[in-house]
Amino acid sequence: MPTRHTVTLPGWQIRITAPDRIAASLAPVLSSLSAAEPLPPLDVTVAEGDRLATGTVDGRVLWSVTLPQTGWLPLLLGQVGATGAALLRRLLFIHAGAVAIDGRAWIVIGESGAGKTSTVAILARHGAAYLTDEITLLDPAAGAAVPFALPMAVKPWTAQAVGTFPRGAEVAREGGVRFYLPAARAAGAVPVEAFVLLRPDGGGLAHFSRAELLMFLGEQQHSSLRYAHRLEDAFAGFSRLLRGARCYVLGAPFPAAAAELILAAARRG
Amino acid sequence: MSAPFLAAELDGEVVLLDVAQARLIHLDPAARQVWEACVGRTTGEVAAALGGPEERLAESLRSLAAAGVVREEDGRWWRAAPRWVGSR
Repeated sequence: MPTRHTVTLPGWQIRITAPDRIAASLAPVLSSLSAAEPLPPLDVTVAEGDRLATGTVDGRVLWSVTLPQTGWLPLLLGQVGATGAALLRRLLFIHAGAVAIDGRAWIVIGESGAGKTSTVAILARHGAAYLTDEITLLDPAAGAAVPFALPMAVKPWTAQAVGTFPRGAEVAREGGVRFYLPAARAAGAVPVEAFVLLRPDGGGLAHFSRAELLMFLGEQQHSSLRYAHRLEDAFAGFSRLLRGARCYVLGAPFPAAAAELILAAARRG
Repeated sequence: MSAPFLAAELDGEVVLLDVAQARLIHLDPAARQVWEACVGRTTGEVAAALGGPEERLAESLRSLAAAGVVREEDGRWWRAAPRWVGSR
């Protein structure tokens, strides 16, 4: 029998109607989110048979996905996170991890598999405050990153790369993925200090062209630039954010080395 | 140029947003110079203004035209007139 869970977050209500085993896992992974601007309620419904999930806002179905036997929780979490990002009117979003080091935000971007989650986890272990793992919200007017604390989706190879995780809690586990939430999290918006593009080709940490970084953001599958109604203000907003930030490209042999280079750059100021 | 463009200057480079196509176009400093020189000049006049070899310039102009940020009309080159965002 489907059960109904309502997750009331600051600025956003998510109503889940799903078989209990699904609702009981989805609700806790969403519980640390907050919407920095008010969003309309989202209804997440998983039909009997546990396979077809839909996301509805204001009576309009925004998405519909068939859930796999395993790996359904990362998929659902991704759908909900992406829905929140797509509903934004003022803030921008990119696919990136982010932490605050000494009160300044370091945004870690890169292709899938580049080591974003591992790098963010290691930075958090070294005392950085967690902002997000997958979806970074940005306030161009304030030049700031805004917390969107989705738990880190820790795959086995990520766990191996990170070793000891920062202090925190596992909030769910499904399909070989652990959802882990660091305890030390940024409480509010943090001024952006730097964007760091992870590259697999080595070479250490080097300054990177802001224009090329904007081009990289334009190529991302998930960013505000992908929405026609946000295109122009996203372009202006990202340009503004980049002008006020340091931009780096970082190639390191493993995530711990990447994190060390970021920490050293942050300490240098 | 029918499609409206937005432009951002970042450290001497330019990124253009082709709004209709929802795509970004990066002009490095050299490409930017050529693009900015396209104010109704012939290829020869652009070459004279920039002081480079005409053959290489022609290649650069073709590339900019393929990207849709300049157009040739009656032998003269015109650049897209973008709306700039942020300070220049």
